[in-house]
Amino acid sequence: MNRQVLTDIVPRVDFAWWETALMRTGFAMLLLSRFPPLGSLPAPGAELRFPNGVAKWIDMSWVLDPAGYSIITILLHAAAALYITGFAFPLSSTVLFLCYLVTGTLQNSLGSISHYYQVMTLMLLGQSVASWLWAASSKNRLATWIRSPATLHSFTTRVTLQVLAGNYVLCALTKLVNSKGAWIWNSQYMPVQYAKIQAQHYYTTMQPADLGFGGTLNELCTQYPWLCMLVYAPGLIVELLTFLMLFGRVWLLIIGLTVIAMHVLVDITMNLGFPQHQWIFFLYAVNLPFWIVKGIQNLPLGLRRHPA
Amino acid sequence: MDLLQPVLGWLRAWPWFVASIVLGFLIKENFPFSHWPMYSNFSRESGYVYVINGAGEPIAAASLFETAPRLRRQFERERKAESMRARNRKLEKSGAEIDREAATHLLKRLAQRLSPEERKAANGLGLVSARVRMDEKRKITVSERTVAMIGFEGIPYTPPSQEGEPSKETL
Repeated sequence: MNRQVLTDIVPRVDFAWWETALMRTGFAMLLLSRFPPLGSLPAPGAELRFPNGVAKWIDMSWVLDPAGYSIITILLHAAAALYITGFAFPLSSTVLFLCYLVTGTLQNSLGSISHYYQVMTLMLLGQSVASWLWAASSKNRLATWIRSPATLHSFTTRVTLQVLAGNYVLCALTKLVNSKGAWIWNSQYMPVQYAKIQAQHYYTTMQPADLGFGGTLNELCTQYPWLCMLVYAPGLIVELLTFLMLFGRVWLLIIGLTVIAMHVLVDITMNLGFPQHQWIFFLYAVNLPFWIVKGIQNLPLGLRRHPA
Repeated sequence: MDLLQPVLGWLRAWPWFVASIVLGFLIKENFPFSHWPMYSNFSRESGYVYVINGAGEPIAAASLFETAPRLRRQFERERKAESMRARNRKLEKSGAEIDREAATHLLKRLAQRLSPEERKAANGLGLVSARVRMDEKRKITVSERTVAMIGFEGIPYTPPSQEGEPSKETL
């Protein structure tokens, strides 16, 4: 087999300016709507017993003060507006990253690690580092600041997709490492987790969760271990194969829809919702505007094909 | 070996993909990095915790600006810290003693968020640890024990911010 053939099947996707503009707009809105409220952070003056991440070295507790939090939200909104325009992208993505870094770190510094904001923050980190590198290596260094270069945004979008794929594959690899390769076999014990999750829902609000189809499915899974494995094994396989979305537009669409479907199923069967992850895959991987435009261009109307 | 070259070629084409995996494994749970250990292994047994008042009635974690999963993780973290402290000081402590001290730390932190009126109504706080088990016949049972109870003497009131809802995350 010609090795070059396999290496060459990794295409470089060039995203059009309007695609990345729509992605930035959608992501900025997601960042604004999902930003941790002050009520979800430790109280001002509360002891951060288990400082997490950079909080081990830098005191960020000033953000817990309402005045400090106000400064962060003003910065967040200003940076989000700039981020949408695409101008001064290294600055806007870095400020957004720092806003999420500070609040996410503080939230995780009481001893419990939540996995709610990591993906969004890692995407911002990737975009920030990539845009600084792009700016530093660009022939016209001013272009990053006074224009909104399509090539920069196309590059940071490719970086974002790699970061997303990397973290989903990492999630699958951790499952395989921690279970010593027996994750699918051990998923027969998922009803134990299900019982725990339902109890945790109840003791969070003192309201019983509406189990719906998930309750019926769990009862069946409790009786039939093979059904458990059949229901949950695809989740691991989907995570493991997320890297396929780096193989071009069609794979992006397929994997994007598959990951969204996986999250919907996890939400139904386990009451574990990750709406922000679904939105991210909808924006960056499914990329509906591209397929609508491509569909229109393919209509026999004599319209010019988009070069992307 | 034929496949090694193209695989290396792909990995060279995806440096951010590779970096995400390597950094996640190396840095582990340090925000924003994570190696995503949640639900990475399953066994016949698991557990959760919840808070009770002085009369033994459950209190919604949301009213303490927490979620039950966050309380469980904080309790586990406190247990590890207590266990480490005992080992470093060469103290011989039973599992129940370590649990009690860890739960007391957690409860005192939660008690700081209760106003004088809420404290009067609660008349103390306790932490219940529940174990969920699946037996050989796949029957699931839950066993509970109260790990610690505290009063409010000497605990300052640190009002949490009322701005915004506490987060709803469950993982």
